Amino acid sequence: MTDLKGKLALVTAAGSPIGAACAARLADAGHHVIAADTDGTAAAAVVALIRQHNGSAEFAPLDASDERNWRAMAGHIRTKYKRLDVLVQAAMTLLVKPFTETTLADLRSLARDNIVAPWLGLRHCAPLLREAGNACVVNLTSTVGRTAHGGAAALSATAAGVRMMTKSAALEWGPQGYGVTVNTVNVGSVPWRPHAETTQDDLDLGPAIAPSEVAEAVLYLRSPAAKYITGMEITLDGGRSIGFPG
Amino acid sequence: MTALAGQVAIVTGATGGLGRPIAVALAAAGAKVVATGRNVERGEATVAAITVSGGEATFLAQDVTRDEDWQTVIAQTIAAFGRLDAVINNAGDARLAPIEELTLQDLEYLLDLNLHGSFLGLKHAFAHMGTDGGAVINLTALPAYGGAVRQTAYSAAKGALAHLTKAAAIAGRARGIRVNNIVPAVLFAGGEVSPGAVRVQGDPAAAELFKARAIAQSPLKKLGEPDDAARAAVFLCSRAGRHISGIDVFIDGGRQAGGN
Repeated sequence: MTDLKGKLALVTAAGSPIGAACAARLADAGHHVIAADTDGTAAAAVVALIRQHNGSAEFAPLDASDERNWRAMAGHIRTKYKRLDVLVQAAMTLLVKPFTETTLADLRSLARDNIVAPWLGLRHCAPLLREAGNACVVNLTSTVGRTAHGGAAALSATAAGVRMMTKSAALEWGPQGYGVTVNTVNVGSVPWRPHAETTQDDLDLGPAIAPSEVAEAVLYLRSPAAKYITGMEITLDGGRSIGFPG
Repeated sequence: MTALAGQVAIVTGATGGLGRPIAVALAAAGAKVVATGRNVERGEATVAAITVSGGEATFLAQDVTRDEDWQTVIAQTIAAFGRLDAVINNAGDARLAPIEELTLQDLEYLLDLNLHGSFLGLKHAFAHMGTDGGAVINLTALPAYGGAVRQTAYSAAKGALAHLTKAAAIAGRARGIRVNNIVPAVLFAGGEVSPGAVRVQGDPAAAELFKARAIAQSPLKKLGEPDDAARAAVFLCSRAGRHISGIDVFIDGGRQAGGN
């Protein structure tokens, strides 16, 4: 993977288990990683860990659901690096709550965190990714966006929204010579955030997935082997969301 | 026709587009229809189209993104007709542009109208449907099932809605509330066009080009009509649809099947 040396990767929610694993793996493959998160302490720890392993990384504060934050982030990248090679959007807010108890405020909040945030990432990083050529976006979301869950209606809906938004961006950018691939990784049972108020423990999403396994899927989509893969989905759940297990 | 005799149905966005033909078809099948929307004049025209053929309907002004409006519509529906059997979440809109040109306000508007508005319709249906259940129909679009150029925001909103339908279908099982999607694609009738064709409204040349392309892309090599979607709504609300929940009824001439 020496051809990835010096390439620039931005990882959101870099302080979360999945974000941290993606950041570490991308750094290990030669990228300079911008570890972005609202949680500075967790993201700084990830940066320290990467540096300990002779990798290159920096922390940047980012509330991904706020457009001004994205403008600032894009401005920072443009000034310092001129382009962006990899964007991994690993933020995911969970809500496990029966449909009948879910409020409009719940749905709005999830739509903001899970749909609006990655859409803003695509929107503001688009010119930077275009500058790079052979750039890659990976949006991470939950497998409940494939097989709906009555106990997590708002989460199911917003996860599905991410999948379709990703496909639309791929279709929009793919044939027009942007040289940017845009894919989704659907993840089953995984710790999105430690100490989160809501966890998905009550949902049967298949075997526990290690964050490092998510990172491997991301790195594959970033590799030259996947240069023609765009608008696609990799689902990591041991087959749980395929259909109707007996 | 009496497939829906005794039923009471709310149709949002019944001021035009697909909402009017859906309201007319449900009423023609025997349902008492509450037609809602933001434009009073156009809403009253829908009611007139129903009553002129002996159907029963009333118009209520409603912004589907406002919970207070839903509370009023539900209360007046129950007061007037005594029950609620069907909610057709037809109100929706599209804004098409490359992602670089779309704004955050565009995305929020589309989420509000397509996703949050339908969510409120579902919530109120669940709260007010009786012991024998009922039917909720959400109107989605092809970009809810695959990517579409210039539609990152629209596909996010409709994709989320299409999946909300499935989650709500699971939640409704115990109550006998069935929740399904109707997916209209490129339906024309006279001057009325489906949401997917709204962008060429008022531009005859562009409309002709759009139609020609839609026909070429259609496996059946012809355009559908709004009434095709309306008949699907009647079917899903009727006894014939009583065992159907969580599905997507594509009224698209076979386009989603793939190929060219």
